[in-house]
Amino acid sequence: MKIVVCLKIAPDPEDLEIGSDGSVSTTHAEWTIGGFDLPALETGVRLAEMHGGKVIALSVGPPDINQSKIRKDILSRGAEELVLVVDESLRDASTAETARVLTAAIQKMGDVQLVLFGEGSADLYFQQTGVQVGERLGWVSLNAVRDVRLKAEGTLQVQRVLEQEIQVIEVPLPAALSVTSDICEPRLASMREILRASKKPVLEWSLADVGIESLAPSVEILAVKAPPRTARKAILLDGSVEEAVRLLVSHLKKEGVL
Amino acid sequence: MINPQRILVVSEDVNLIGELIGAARRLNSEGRSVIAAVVAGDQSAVRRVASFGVDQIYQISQVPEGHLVEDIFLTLLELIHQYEPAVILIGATTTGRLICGRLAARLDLSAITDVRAFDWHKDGLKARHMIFAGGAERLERPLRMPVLMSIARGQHEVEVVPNATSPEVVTLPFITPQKRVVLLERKDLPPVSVNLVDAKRVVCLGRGIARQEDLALVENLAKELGAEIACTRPLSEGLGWLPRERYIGISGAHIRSDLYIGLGVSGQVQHTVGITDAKVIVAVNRDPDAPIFKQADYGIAADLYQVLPALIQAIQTV
Ligand SMILES: Cc1cc2nc3c(=O)[nH]c(=O)nc-3n(C[C@H](O)[C@H](O)[C@H](O)COP(=O)(O)OP(=O)(O)OC[C@H]3O[C@@H](n4cnc5c(N)ncnc54)[C@H](O)[C@@H]3O)c2cc1C
Repeated sequence: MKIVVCLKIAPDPEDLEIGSDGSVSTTHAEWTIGGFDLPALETGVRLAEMHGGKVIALSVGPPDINQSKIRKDILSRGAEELVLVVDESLRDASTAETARVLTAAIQKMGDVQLVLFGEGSADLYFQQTGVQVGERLGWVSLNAVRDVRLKAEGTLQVQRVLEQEIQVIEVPLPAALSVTSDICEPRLASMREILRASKKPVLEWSLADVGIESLAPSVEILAVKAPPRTARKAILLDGSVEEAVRLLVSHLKKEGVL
Repeated sequence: MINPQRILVVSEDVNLIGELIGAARRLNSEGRSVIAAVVAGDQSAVRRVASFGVDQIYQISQVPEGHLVEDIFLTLLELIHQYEPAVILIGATTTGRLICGRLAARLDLSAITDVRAFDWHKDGLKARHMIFAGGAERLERPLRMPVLMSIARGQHEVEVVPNATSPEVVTLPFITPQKRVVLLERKDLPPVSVNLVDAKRVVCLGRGIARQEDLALVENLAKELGAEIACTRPLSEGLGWLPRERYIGISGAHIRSDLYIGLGVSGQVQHTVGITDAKVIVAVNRDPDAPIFKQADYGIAADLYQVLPALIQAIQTV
């Protein structure tokens, strides 16, 4: 089975710099693989290990996504190949643009049976791209998938978790599935895999390579700002534990929250 | 300002339709829009939606056996082509997200999901969506029509309009998608045991709690405080010590309690985004440099196993 796992590579939310005027900068942020996407990669790799086949990791974005550390990170987690579609116009791309480029790349690869996504990207978290790609490919697509099993050739049985129910669903391949973050625990790469990673193929494609001439934005970004935050007192209560606790209780009484 | 002419609201959940109609009314400040709701359900669902005071109802009375309710998206797409709404509001549930994405793909546009605030301007709609795990908000203007947005539960009032004039009800035939999955089985999840969103006080456990047995200690504190117990994600998804609905954060609950006490919580953004609306934040962590202290009102830099008994005692004597 040929499995594609789509990963969002983006600035780490932990590294945001917020200015006193509420401005937000990612200039010094490290770019990383989205945390929600690692369980999707692990799911794909386990399926390939169990039933044969190979996992191709796919990411689209601005030139920042093509970094050796990130490439190694992805390839040491069990993907056999990495495809990056890189174009400056993909910086801040909204879901329609991202889904369009992913779809074109998957079509170019050919013969793909399963595409996996995380539940949302770590930076934008629209929770839309996976579903859109499935529909654009003309395949079935599902979100909130918590378990994937290969039943017969060409058929999966999956579990899907909704707010109030669990569903067991038969899915004909090809299909696009967005998995939950608790579907499985992503592996830590072994030394051997880390060494092997540097020998695996990495392909960088341009938009033209996937047959897209230009990418008109579907959304205009007007502003990015830190949300207004309640100012916090940040009072560290000193002294022995007993004293600190006594002080705390008296503060809480004064605040009227006890 | 020109109001959108037609607004369509869609949800599989009748109560959420009520909230979406509330949101649609906000877009209709001049009272010139027509608000229509899509109801996938029977006559009683239609009557309930009619009580919210909507202008039109499109009813899909039956989703065939073995189909997912999300399969109505093709019927919806046909309706959108005919009805040409300027704005489509979808309830931000798992089902809503799937419907939203399928429609967005077919219409070649980006849906703005989990919209926090929105306004209709003369140059279109502007909506706010949280990004970077709550670290920032992005204000966006969709450039294509229709505008497709999803709105989470609990943001708009459900208004029952007394003696609402009966809306026009149109029945839509269900259109079967060509490619589809087969629903084999469904099980109701056990009723949610906790409503963190409405809790007055919350005691939240982090990985600083060493053993599952120690939860009993924390339960004592929660009892004394009249607080609900919550946790960070690793305690629920990783360790499975507490159910999913008890974790706070970007993919968990957003609380609005008067008091939040974090015990052994480090304060990573993915968690703290869920506590920004708490009135008073208390943190107990043995690492004085833990990021949570900067986001707390009161902090105690000490071992939580020493603080817990002292705190229980101090509260008992209040
Ligand atoms: C994409 C993504 C989404 C996520 N979504 C969420 C989410 O929705 N909710 C969420 O909670 N997390 C989420 N996380 C995880 C999040 O990033 C953090 O890893 C998590 O919140 C940390 O939990 P913690 O504070 O319990 O554990 P840790 O970060 O391990 O912190 C434990 C703390 O306990 C302190 N400690 C240890 N022993 C003691 C003691 N005896 N007394 C006092 N203090 C002690 C330590 O000093 C430390 O600060 C997400 C992560 C990713 C990548």
